[in-house]
Amino acid sequence: MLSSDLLLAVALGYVIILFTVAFVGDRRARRGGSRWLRSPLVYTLSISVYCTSWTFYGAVGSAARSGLEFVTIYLGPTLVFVGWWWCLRKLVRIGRVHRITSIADLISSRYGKSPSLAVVVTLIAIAATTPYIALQLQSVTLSFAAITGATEEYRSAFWVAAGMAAFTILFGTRSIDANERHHGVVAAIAVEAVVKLVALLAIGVFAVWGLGGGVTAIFAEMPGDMIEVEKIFGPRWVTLTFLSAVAVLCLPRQFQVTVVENADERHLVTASWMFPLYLFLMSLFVIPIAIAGMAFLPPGSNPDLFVLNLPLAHGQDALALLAFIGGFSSATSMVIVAAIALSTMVSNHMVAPFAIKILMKGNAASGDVRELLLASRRVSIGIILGLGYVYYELSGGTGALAATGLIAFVGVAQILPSMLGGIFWRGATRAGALAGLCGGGTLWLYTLFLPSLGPDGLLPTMWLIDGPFGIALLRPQALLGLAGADPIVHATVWSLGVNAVLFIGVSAMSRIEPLDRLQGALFIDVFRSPEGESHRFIRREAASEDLYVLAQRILGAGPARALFKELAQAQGVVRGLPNPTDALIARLERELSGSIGAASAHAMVTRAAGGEVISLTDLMDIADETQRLIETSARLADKTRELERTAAELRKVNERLRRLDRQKDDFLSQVSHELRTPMTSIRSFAEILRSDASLAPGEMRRFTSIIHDEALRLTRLLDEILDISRLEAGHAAIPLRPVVLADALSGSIDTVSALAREAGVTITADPPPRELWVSADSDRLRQVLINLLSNAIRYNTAAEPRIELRWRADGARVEVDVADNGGGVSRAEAEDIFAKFWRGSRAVEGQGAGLGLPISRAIMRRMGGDLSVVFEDDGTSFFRISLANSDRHPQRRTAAAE
Amino acid sequence: MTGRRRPFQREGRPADPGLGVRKARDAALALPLIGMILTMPPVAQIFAIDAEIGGVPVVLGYVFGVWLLLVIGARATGKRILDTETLPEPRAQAGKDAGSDAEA
Repeated sequence: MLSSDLLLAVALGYVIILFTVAFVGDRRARRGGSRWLRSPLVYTLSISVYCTSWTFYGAVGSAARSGLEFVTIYLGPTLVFVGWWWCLRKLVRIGRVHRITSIADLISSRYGKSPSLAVVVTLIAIAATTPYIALQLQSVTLSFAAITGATEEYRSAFWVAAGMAAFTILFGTRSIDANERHHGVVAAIAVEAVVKLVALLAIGVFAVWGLGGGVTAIFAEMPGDMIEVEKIFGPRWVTLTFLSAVAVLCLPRQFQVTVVENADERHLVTASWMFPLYLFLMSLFVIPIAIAGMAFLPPGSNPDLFVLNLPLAHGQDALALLAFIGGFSSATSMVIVAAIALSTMVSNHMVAPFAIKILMKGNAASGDVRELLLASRRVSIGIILGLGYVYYELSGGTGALAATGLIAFVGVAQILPSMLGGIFWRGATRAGALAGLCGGGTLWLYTLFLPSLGPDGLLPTMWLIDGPFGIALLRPQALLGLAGADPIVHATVWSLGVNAVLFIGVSAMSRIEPLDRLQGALFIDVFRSPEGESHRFIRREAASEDLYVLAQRILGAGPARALFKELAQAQGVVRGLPNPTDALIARLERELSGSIGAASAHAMVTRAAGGEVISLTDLMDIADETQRLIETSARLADKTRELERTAAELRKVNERLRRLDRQKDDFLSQVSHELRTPMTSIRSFAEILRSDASLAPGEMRRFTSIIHDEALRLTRLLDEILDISRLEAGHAAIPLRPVVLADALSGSIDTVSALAREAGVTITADPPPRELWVSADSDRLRQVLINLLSNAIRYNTAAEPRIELRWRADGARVEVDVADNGGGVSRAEAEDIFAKFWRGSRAVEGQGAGLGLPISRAIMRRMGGDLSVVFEDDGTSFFRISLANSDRHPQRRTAAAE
Repeated sequence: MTGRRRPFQREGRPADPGLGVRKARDAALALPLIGMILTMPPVAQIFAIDAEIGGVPVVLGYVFGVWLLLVIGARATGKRILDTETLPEPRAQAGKDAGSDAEA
């Protein structure tokens, strides 16, 4: 046993340390040099205010009573934080854009800045937090009694409550921050988070390795019925996980640390895994500690105190003291943050509306509203802790910690439908939210809260057993005869079910007020609308002086002066007050709502500025915004695809242009080269003739004929070049008339027959019938055929060179193939051979300029046909010309002409 | 780009900037759903058997194992989100807040 004096001294010392941390934290934050204070780690640790003494003591108690079930309380928050992208991200952004000060402020601001909704949410939050605070008082009192052996629990509970109230007032209400943020408190909470984690881990290590003798050994001590595998994953498992997930969103203190105190949205990313990790570590040793408690402590010990009694019973006083500090940490951090969050709600939503009335009547001095609000916060902290104490006394302070905590969870869960509906559903209305909250809240009070006070609490005992006035259907714990269900599951299903049905049903039936609709659109589209653009839709008029006086009264003289100076500078006003534009009024309202909540700020500004006019056309605009955005993005996607297509085409065209440019360069250099060769020989022979008079006549004639031949070759070349450029430019019109294909073929073969004989090439042809007419120019067709045949003769390297001419008429088209056994062209060369001046790998120098094939192809195309290389399956190739079949008989045409 | 090339990225074309963002978002949306499926009946019921591994009941190991995997998954997803998303700048430093001028 430790003495109560020592324990008090330790507790007091610990509180002083916390206070110092908070004080230093506040000062450093004010100086702006608090990088550490604004780190994601501190943010995450402050969120772990979720782990109260319910976790520290109650989880082990819950594990000893119902096995694995305690895990649900931490699984829910884990899922919410792991899934931060769904909901938390939006809440944090809305909180930041709209300067939300509490969860009641969020609900009220969303539903048209309704003061009545804010009051209802505040009342539900207070009612739900009361058992939760009682739980903390109970645990601190129990732990104190367990260590010192004291028995006067109620008295010590009262002093614990009083001490905590004083502590919270000192901590949390030293000033009203413009954004309702408490850097010092957050720092202290972070320290407490580390303390409770270290304490619980230390007890866990002591239980497993100090007492149990290792992991396997401790689990060997586990009672057989501790984890009932068949019953674990039942309705209670699902309900409790759901409730804890909801609680981490809706508990006023969780909303305070997660949304209101958030300084940087990126911290949420870190918290999304670090907070679940914290919960994991807190839960890791719970089962082993529970096993150790059942195995090594005398039967009948309170399982909620295993954490404390294990080291105490084994003479580990230092460890017991650490456990006490850990439990104390868990309790104080919860009470401080919850009381701050609730007192903010009370002062902003219940006191401020009255303050406005007083203020508007008399000539109150500057900053007096601040003073009034601060005072009201201090008083409400006292009242909230007082309520907790009353609940503790009424409920007898005997219930299991976890059972008490769950009552609070079901209570705050009533806020969920209005909150989720508010940030995701455009159709949600103020009336719907009000109906849902009131209906659900009442059912929660009736089915869970009041019965929890015990048979001799606020409800007559007979009501619990037989129902009010003997009506069995209205029994609080078996409503409409739904008996047999677990009380928590029963209350959750009834209260949340009725809540959601009323919320949706009344929303669907009621009219949406303009301001309701505007706020709804701003909340739901918070990621798409730029910050603070609500002034676009609201028209108000006010005198700058009135606004300035208002700001002074709420914010205090200094901040108001600074704000108006900044606003004036932004407007470009050098001296005096800024112009009262709609944007300025909206900005002022936002600043004020950061201090006193949206509803009160709205009421105050409305009093100064007169009634607002919400432009209906603008409202329609934002109502249509989603639709418009969808259309815009679809159009954008179309445009992108189109652009991509155009870009691909452009790339292709560009590629082709570059190739053509290269070909033009090649062509020019080829032309010059081709022209040079004959020119050079002409010039050199001409020089010989001019300079050497003593040449023999035979020699002279030979030279002259060479010059003559070369000149002819030059002319031919120039003709060809001229020809091809005319053909390609499309200047040379080729008149088409029916031609007997058989004549063209035989004529061409005759022309090359001498050449063929010379080269020893056999030409076999399959003569087409004389009735086969093609549409062509006879001379040009022969030119092409002769060119193909002479190529086949010239470049044929086979031992027994052969050329075969085949033809085929296929309806409208006639095809003529020129095949030889000379190896043909390779697939790689197939397109190149039609390039100008290209000579195949088997070309012999001096034979042709490489213009024959391109000219032939150009001719064929001008005649509506084509010339191409066709590959057989075995890799050999031949040339194919195709032409249009002429259905008109020349005689008939001639006859018609005559 | 050096080193790792994103899949489906074609040569000479800038990588689709939306792909990474979408994937990270999808992961962030899917993770809690996976967690929910694994920790709720009927899937969790599969592991509710009266057996032990190394002295630890299977169901206990399963629940805590899924929990740890969720933590690891959330950390990986968070990293991707921070790489691909542009989250807004932090709020103004407290020293510049209007409220603290009162004491200044």
